[in-house]
Amino acid sequence: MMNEAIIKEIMQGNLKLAKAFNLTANPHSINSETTEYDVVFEYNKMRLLRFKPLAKKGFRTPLLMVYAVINKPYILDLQEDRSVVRKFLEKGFDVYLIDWGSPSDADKFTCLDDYINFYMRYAVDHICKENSCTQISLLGYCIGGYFSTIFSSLYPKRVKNLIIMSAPIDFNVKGGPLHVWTQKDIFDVSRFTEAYGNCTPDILNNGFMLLNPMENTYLKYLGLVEKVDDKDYVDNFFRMEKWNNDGISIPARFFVEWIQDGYQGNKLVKGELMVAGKPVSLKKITMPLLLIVGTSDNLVPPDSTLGLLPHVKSKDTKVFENPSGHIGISVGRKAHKVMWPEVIEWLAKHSEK
Amino acid sequence: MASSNSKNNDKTEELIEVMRKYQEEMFKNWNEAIKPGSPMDTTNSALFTNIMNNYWEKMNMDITMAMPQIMKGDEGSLQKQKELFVSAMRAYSDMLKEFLVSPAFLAYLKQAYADKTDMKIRLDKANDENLKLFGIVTRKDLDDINFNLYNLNKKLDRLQDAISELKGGK
Repeated sequence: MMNEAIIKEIMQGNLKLAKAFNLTANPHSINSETTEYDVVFEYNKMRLLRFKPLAKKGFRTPLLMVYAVINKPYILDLQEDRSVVRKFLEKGFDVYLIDWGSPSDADKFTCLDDYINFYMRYAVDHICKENSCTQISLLGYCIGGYFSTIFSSLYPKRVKNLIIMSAPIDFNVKGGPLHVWTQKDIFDVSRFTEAYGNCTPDILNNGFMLLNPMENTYLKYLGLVEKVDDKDYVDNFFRMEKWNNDGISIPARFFVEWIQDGYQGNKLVKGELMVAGKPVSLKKITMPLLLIVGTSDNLVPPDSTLGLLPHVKSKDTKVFENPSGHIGISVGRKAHKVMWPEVIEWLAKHSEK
Repeated sequence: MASSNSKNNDKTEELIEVMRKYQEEMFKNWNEAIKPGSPMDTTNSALFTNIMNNYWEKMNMDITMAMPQIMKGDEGSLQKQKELFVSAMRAYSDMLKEFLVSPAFLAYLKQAYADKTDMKIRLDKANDENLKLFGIVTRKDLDDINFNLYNLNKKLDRLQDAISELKGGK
């Protein structure tokens, strides 16, 4: 026979379940993008955001953050106490962020050349003009890190410091399912884009969900039921859900390049990658280089990012390994408490005052 | 008018025929994929057995460890059951992850990619043919326009860059 304590536990559990159902059916509005900014430059759908200072300007070298072309970049400024943007602003950095916008069918021909030689170069030109300087510090996250590495190879004089965070650079590493599912003999990406055009967020999210099938479905919601009375947890949960489901399409032409040159060809580290007919040589990277990896990142295995080191000529290099996954590195409590203050110290030491 | 209607009927029949053939082919492919000896052979236990065994082994161990407390039925036993559920889900997740990179699944994935894209391309082509009959702009027409616009814009940007460079602006 069940005792009183168990009956109480079951009743409490049911109450939590009802609350969680109610919350998921009627989620309250969540504020993301916590820091104020101005849109200082626009090109096609790209917007260059300049954040309003939170402290006296301490450094002459501005910082440009470049996020992936998969999700919205506000993951770097998701909530006040865990905002990478805010951390740099509080130290006195002038922070810019590229928002790629949401590509439509009309943008399906956008390619790597456009991202590097137009979008990024124009953004850097604008920042330098606004600050009367010739160099910037570059922080690239995920595919934004891949772009930043290529940009630094092609325009090394424009980049004073390079920070690469959880970026797929070397694809010839023991990787997760994404590496396997995109193999040449399995996935004909040209035919795929011929059929579907841009690679939509739904397709990508289904793939990402399968990286941790039960954790990303049942267990995620079980966690919400368990902690439904914890306001911070619930807010964080919905903030992440909002961001996760706020993805953007990858332009068809770039998607083909990304899969063929990256996952299938590993051309960047082989020295075979060409952008608008120009070879991309990683040896041109001589500026101070900081690599940040999440030790349990199953989207971009740490070795993929660390694989950049043997190919560059930078003498001043440093690696931060954070015990987190791909997203935890930018929004994780531990990363903000321990790692980010050290990253900011590193950049402060390497920036002109 | 009558000739236009008859032409439309012919096209519709053509489209139905394309779809019927596609369905036929899809079933044929599916039967090929699961026939004995194929990578998706559901009767061949060797493909899935190792993955399943690992999973059941872990599950059995967890259940054996948790059972005494659950059987007591006192405070905390519900928590134990929840932990067991989470543990089972994690083990199941591990099993799925292993399966999702197994040769059996990859063979299926390859076939699925190919079938889905083929179907989409064929249907789009058939739709475009029908739209053309009514003089409606097709996806291909829009793609061509967008591609031309994209190239023109890019040329313009490159020219502007060249002008700036000549002026010594950049």
